[in-house]
Amino acid sequence: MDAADRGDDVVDDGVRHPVDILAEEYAERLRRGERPAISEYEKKHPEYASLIRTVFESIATVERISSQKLSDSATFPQTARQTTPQVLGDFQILREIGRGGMGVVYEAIQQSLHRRVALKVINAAVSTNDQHRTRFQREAESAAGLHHTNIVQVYGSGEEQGIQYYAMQLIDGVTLSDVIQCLRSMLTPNAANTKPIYPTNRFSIRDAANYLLETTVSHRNGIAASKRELESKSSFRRSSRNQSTWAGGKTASEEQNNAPPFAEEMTLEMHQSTGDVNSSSEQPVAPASSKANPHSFSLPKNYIRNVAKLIANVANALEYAHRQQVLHRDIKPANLLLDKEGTVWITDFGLARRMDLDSATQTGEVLGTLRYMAPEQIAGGGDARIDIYSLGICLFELLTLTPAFEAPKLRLLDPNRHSVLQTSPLRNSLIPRDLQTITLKACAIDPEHRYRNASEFELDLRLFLEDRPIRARKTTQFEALTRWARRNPAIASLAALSGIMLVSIACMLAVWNRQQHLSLIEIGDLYEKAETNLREKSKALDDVKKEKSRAEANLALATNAFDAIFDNIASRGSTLASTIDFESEELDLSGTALSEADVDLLESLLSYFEQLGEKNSVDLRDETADAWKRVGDIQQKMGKLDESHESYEKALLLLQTIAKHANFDSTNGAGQRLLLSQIGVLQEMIQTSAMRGRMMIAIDRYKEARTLIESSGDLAKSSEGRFALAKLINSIGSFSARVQRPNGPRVPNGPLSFFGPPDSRGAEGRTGPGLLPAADMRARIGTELNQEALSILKELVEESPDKASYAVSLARALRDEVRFARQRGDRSEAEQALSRSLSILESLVTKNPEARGFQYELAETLVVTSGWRPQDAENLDRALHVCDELLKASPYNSAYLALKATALSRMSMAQRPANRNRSLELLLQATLIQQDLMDRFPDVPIYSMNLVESLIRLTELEPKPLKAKEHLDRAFQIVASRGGKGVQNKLTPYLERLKERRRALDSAP
Amino acid sequence: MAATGPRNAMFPQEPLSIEDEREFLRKGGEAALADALLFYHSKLERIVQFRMEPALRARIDTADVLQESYLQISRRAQEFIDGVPVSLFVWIRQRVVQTLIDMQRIHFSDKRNANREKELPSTDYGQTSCLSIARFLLDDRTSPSMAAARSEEFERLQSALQAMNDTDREVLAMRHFEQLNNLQVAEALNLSPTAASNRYIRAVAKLGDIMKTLSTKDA
Repeated sequence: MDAADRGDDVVDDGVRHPVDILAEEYAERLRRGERPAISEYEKKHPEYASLIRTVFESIATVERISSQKLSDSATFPQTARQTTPQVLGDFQILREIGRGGMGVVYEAIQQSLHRRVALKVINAAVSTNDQHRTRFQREAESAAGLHHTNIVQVYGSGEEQGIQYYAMQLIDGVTLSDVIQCLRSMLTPNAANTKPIYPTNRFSIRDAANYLLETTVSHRNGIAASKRELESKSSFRRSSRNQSTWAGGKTASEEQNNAPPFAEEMTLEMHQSTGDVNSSSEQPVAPASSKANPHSFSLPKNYIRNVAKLIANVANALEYAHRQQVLHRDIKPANLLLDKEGTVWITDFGLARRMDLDSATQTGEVLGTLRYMAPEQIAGGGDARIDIYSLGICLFELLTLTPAFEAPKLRLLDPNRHSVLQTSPLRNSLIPRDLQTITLKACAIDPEHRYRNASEFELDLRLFLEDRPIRARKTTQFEALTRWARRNPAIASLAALSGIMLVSIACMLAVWNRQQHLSLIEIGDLYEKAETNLREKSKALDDVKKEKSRAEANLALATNAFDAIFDNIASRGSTLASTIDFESEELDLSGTALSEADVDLLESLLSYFEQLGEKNSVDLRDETADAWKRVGDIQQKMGKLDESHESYEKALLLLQTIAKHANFDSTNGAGQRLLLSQIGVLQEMIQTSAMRGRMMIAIDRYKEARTLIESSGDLAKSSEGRFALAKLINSIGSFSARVQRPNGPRVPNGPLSFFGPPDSRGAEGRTGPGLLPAADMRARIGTELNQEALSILKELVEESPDKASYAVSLARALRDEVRFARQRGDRSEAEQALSRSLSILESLVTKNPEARGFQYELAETLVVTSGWRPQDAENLDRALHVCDELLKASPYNSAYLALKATALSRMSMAQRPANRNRSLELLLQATLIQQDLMDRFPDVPIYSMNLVESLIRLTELEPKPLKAKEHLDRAFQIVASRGGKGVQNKLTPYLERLKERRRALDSAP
Repeated sequence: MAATGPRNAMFPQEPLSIEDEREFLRKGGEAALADALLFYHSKLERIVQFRMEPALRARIDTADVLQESYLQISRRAQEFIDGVPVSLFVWIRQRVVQTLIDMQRIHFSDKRNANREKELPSTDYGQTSCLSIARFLLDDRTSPSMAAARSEEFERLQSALQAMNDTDREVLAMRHFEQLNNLQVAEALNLSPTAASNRYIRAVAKLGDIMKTLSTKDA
């Protein structure tokens, strides 16, 4: 491809444009760093001269830019090393001592300080890139800040003649990668002789290898120890000449035994050494073991302990560096030096990183790096735990003398899949189990399963060295985990998915929080508490279980978050308050009501449930059905009755599918729960249908539910079954009363139809919507139904007097009974029912003074059973008192406010005959609250409706016609402008009444 | 230590025929593929660096893209072995570029706006050479005094590049920013080597003209 060799005659190959051939050559030469003259080409090919000029100039620009902008390591020829000058700044270069992917290391003299240093000169290929240059400078600076006995000190960095370099402490030592290689060849008789890579006459690799095999490396050696080791060094020399015995370390060990410092440690070592010397001198290990297994070496105990100490020291240094926010990123045996004093040194701190991979790609050196890189690092990420992983691999290789991976290159394809260690050499060897465990923990594929920091790693190594129990679990969690992941891809992906979901929930919570300002701090706390709890629990579990349970717990957590959100939402703004679970602990309600945002939130949560269900083998239909029901509940409370009904239908359909597919057995607990869930949904559907004015549907649902209960004898007999039945009957019965209730929230009137007595299934007398049964007829049937509900509930309360939900339901049924009795004109019956209902609630309040739900229930009962009669004033006064108490604790709670407004409005009616001004005053107070509620929750119809209702009454009470007109105009305005479609639909019916009022006012004098 | 690792299937430096490449992968399996990827690694890295949207760069790293690409490639290696009409490198490159495009799509899909829409790949090759080239060429020319004029200039250069034939522009980008040779360009774009070569000369001459106009305006 060289221009000079090719001559001029090959310019036309018949395929390519002749100038293209020249241009390619020109570009290649530029990429090699040459500066070929364009005129040279013009002269040679005058026929293309002008084209050559244009094209080549353009190429020169593009190439210059592209080589600056893109890392051009790929094309930088490895041979193009700059000739190293004899002097580089302050440094006089003596000789080359090593070569790496990033550059060449020289021994040099720093002239100003008269000291010998190691000078690393960065490859031009690496340093051309501006970005790399800056990074190099920055990292050299941070590395220079590290001062540790096991870290090669970086003195400084500089740039001379365009060459970047840094100076560091010169270590008279060898790399552990050379040591490993040497040991392999020593212990494997047939292996090719290794030639020393660093030709040094001071301290040979073999010395180092023998050193590790024979002596004990003292940790944090003081000067005395160093000296001692210097003396003992002679023995390495001797043994290095004598190839056959590395077991002849007796002298060295014995010499050490005399050393006074670190007495405790030494005793331990003495013991170890002695035992070792015996065994190894009697039975040379290498040949024996190589017979059995060519890949496994039986290494003397001392070696294993020495390695553990070395690695512990490195871990200590890593911890130090990590604390200063410096990662090494390229821990490998080639970057660990062992000097003649037995000290291990980490070199290239913070300097080797991705760019090393770049430039090393072509030389094959990347293989060396790839092998030690943590999976997440290969994938481009990782934190301090990547260094722990790499050090773990070093430990692995030092212990087994075999590469950790059979095919490290494959890790490039899929690091997680191809990072499964070749554990057999580790297991087959005589390496103590604890050390195996430590090694595997450090090299866990998932960073979460590694040591969390280098000091934990170090600690376990030290515990091992002291023969104390290590902290890593002895289970072989590494293999178990990978196996588990293979076995359970579904759960593994569930773990991932639920992780995503949690994040999403958190995000939604954040957004929602902003919208609702006051509300969600408690939920957040709850959420956090759950998470901490989960974290603590997970820690205690075994790793495999932990992973699985984390997946499940995440799901549970998501469900809990959903529950918490739901509870918060559900317990807000319920003027129809019916579904607060009195058994559960009361949430401290904050002052928000239901809004579109709530529905959006729940719907998005719901879609996650569906996703979870689809993507995982885990059956989530139960949870999904439950979620749909809850969404329905919220929609119902918001007055979105059609949507709510749809949600309930979805829930019901799901539950029915489950019942069909599961081996449904109504006699067992699961079957009964399933039945109860269906009944629960049906119960709500009765309510929505009735509220939508679809009594026919309500009755069908009621019958359906009743059939379900009665289909299972066990359920029908059980207290849950009876309770469900009582609630069903009560709700269908109370609706017949509610539709004609004179006051309170107006339920849109729709076609009502006759419904038969509960036991007349199949023979119902359906009539057309036009044929309304007489009011007393409905009242009669309602009464009958309510009586049935009452008798069941009374029984239940007698059986379980402490069950609050039974008691509350009974109180409610009695409250309905008050209504029915009044409709019948049976006043004494009504009073009796009311006082019973109130006494039940009062005793609940007394028993649970903290539970505001009961107080609310009591107040609500006092309000709704009160009419406009003056004698009701006493109860209303009590209700107002309770409301004020409640509001003291939660001044913005919308449910409490709404109830108070209703109480005020009724009080106003009760006061009207006696004191018109007082009545007016009370009603004005009510409208103030209602106005506030409407402003805060414009999409909740009931608040707008209540206000309009109150304004209409104001026009009736207001003596001044001008003021009355004002109120009327305000009401008109609200009806005309309020809220979305849902609210608008609810307000339209008022329009007629308003017009009527206006006519009345206009005609008045 | 590095040199002692098993290196059973080293990817040969000299070019192989497509048939030989297939054979190499078929016999060598994943190890062979890894070898090939390693061999092309920095070239591919360069391509990703060039092609990646600057906005994406803040979110993902070149290594992320390559990692994902390698996963895809190792899953789909059989496609190559079964026979695609291009050489191994060109096939690998296509997979990498496709992965990049997919990743960009995923990253941008959440926040689509008109502006981004415009930047999304729209040519037949699903690539964004025009913008990438303009960006690179102009980054180089940005000096403090020119900073103000930069965006206007960018617009001009971009529209000049836009005026070029799509394929020509692509050829230019591949030859210089991705450092592909003519044959590889021809394969990747499904052109005859002669056509690719002619287009290249045309494009590079045209680019020279554009750059000249820009620099005279600067002066």
